[in-house]
Amino acid sequence: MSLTIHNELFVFCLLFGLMLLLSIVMTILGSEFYTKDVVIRKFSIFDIELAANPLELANIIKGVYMLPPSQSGKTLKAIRGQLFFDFLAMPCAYGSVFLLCKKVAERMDTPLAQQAFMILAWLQLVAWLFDIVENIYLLVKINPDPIMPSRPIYTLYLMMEVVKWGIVLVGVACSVSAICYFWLSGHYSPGSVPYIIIVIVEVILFLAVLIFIPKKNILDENQ
Amino acid sequence: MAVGNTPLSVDDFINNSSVKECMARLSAEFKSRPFIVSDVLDDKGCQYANLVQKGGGVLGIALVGYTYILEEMGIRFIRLAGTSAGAINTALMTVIGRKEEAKSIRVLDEICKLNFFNLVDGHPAARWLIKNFITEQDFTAKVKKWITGILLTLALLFAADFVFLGLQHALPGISVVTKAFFIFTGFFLLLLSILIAYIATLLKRLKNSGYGINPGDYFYDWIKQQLLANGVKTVSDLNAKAEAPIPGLHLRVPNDEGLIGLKGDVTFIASELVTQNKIQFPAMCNLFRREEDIDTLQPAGFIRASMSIPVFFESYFINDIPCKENAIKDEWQKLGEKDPPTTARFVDGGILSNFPINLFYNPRVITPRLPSLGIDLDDTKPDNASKHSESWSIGGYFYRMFNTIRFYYDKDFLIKNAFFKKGIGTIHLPDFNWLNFFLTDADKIKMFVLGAQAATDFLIKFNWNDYKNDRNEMRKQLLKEQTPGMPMPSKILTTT
Repeated sequence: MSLTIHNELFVFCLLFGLMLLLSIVMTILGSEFYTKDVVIRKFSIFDIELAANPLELANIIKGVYMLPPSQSGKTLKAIRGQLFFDFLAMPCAYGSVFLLCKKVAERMDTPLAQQAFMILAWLQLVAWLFDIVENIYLLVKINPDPIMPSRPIYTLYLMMEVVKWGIVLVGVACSVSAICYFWLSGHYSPGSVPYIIIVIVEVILFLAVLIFIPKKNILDENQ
Repeated sequence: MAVGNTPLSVDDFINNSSVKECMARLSAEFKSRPFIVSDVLDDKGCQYANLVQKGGGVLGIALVGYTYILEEMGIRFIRLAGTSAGAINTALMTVIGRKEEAKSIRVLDEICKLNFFNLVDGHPAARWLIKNFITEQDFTAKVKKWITGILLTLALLFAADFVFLGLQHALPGISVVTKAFFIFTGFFLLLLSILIAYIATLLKRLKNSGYGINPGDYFYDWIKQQLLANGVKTVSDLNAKAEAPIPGLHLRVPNDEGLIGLKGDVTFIASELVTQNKIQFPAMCNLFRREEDIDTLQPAGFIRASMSIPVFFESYFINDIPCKENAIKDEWQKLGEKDPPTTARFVDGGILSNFPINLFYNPRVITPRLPSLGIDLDDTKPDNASKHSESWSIGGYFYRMFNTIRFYYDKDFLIKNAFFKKGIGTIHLPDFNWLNFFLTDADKIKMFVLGAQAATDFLIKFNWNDYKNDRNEMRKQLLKEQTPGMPMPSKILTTT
């Protein structure tokens, strides 16, 4: 399957930058994630995305509703907000990895490597689909009395999570490794250097903003 | 013995040949002499005692073996106390049936139905690690090998990248190999990053959960269910069960005290970390709730608090203590606490008093009417290598310090009141790890048998008249030491 995108590197920088921007928003929302399991505790989106078992997921969600009303409202809004923002971040994230794999495939000199990277690129669509299903599943679960899924359903859900993360991370790791090779061996076009600089600047700005985001902690106020 | 996947049954324990042998030994022993362990009897001839059970994780199965023999010999219990695993057995013996009934078989039945591994209800990775560290002796060595292997692979991959990248200037044909090595390196770094991120997440979870690997929810639900099934829903129900009158209670020989004060109760020991106190549940409930609100506390929580092995289980919390109220303040004041907390945080009572036999010490008693029996659990190895202090690792050094602090409170009482040792039977369990929740059925039966054998040895040696005489002697000695106008000597001051 072939797809022509004009000025792919520019589109990549744009998508990557947008993804980082949305990640900042989601990090800010994540600072409101609290649950009550006897005492108030902090949690992250990964704790519900990758809960060890259905009971743990149900306990976290139930615990959010057991928080003092003002905090409960904030946390629910933040979780839903993060999941909705995640829908926006998905095309940016999977699109970036897709373009990265596609660019690497184009520079590979053996058909096998080219095909492997193109498969990795198109697999990002599968990861995107799984991510959509996961977010809808979690949005449905957010209610005061979440119905616990059966073990097989939950195992299926976890497998979907593993496959999703597997596809994305393998795509990133292989592409970045290949790019490092091209850079060190001098097999790159000089025209791509400004885009590399843009990506580096975006990452630095992202990290700087993360450092300056105020750390909220309601635990001291409530215990 | 259970075969294959058949779950264990009570018969597997009590019909074990060694347990039968214990009963036969006792029958033979007491054919020629009367079996007397107490002066307090009921109308069915059962003899009464107080009982303290020591904490010790899964070694608690041995406690059931011990109490089984005592009950088979017609001994029943008025006051019960325990810490951790001892608290679990104590709770079940309190709530099951009536005081004059034998309980151990029913306790055993509940234990047979319980899958111990379910108590380890933490993250699957934590469960896996705990299982391997406890059941595989050389697991630490394996982990070291894995870490070495990972670092070595990483070093080799980097070296290969370096070498092949340099060589391809001279041999352009090997660029395919170079690319492959670069991708392998990236892939390996990815796996390593996932592993590190996963460990970091687990550590963060540990922090967020109050430094407890397992939530302890499974145990809490299980013990709550046990209490409910026996009609104990509230603290008042628990107290009513513990204090239930025994029909036909009478004394074998006259005693100045008569039957005064022979009232049942139950005590679970927990350690409270916010105010750094030893808490006796349910007696000290008024620290956490007003008298009229006492039933808002959950009795299952007391046992959960008592068995919260630090780090292994999450702490147990009691929230919303009405600390501004005078009644609550007054209770805390008795413990020297001027500023009561709003939340109390409990860990295993064993860190302060794992064998709380001092609870049953009453300095006013002149001649005891019934003995205070204790069940001690001893898992030290016969060739205790940890006694060679020069070979301790830093971990071993801190472990010994921690143990010295946690054991000395109870040890000090027994040193100063050595007479109490007469009522204590020790179950030696050197082959078992107290945290091994992955016991085989054979292990469970073996522990039960060891408990039964320890009880048999204890009963054969126990002499009620000697116990009473020694108790009298101890009191005389104390009175001799006591100077008029001076407070009671330190022996008494150390008791509750």
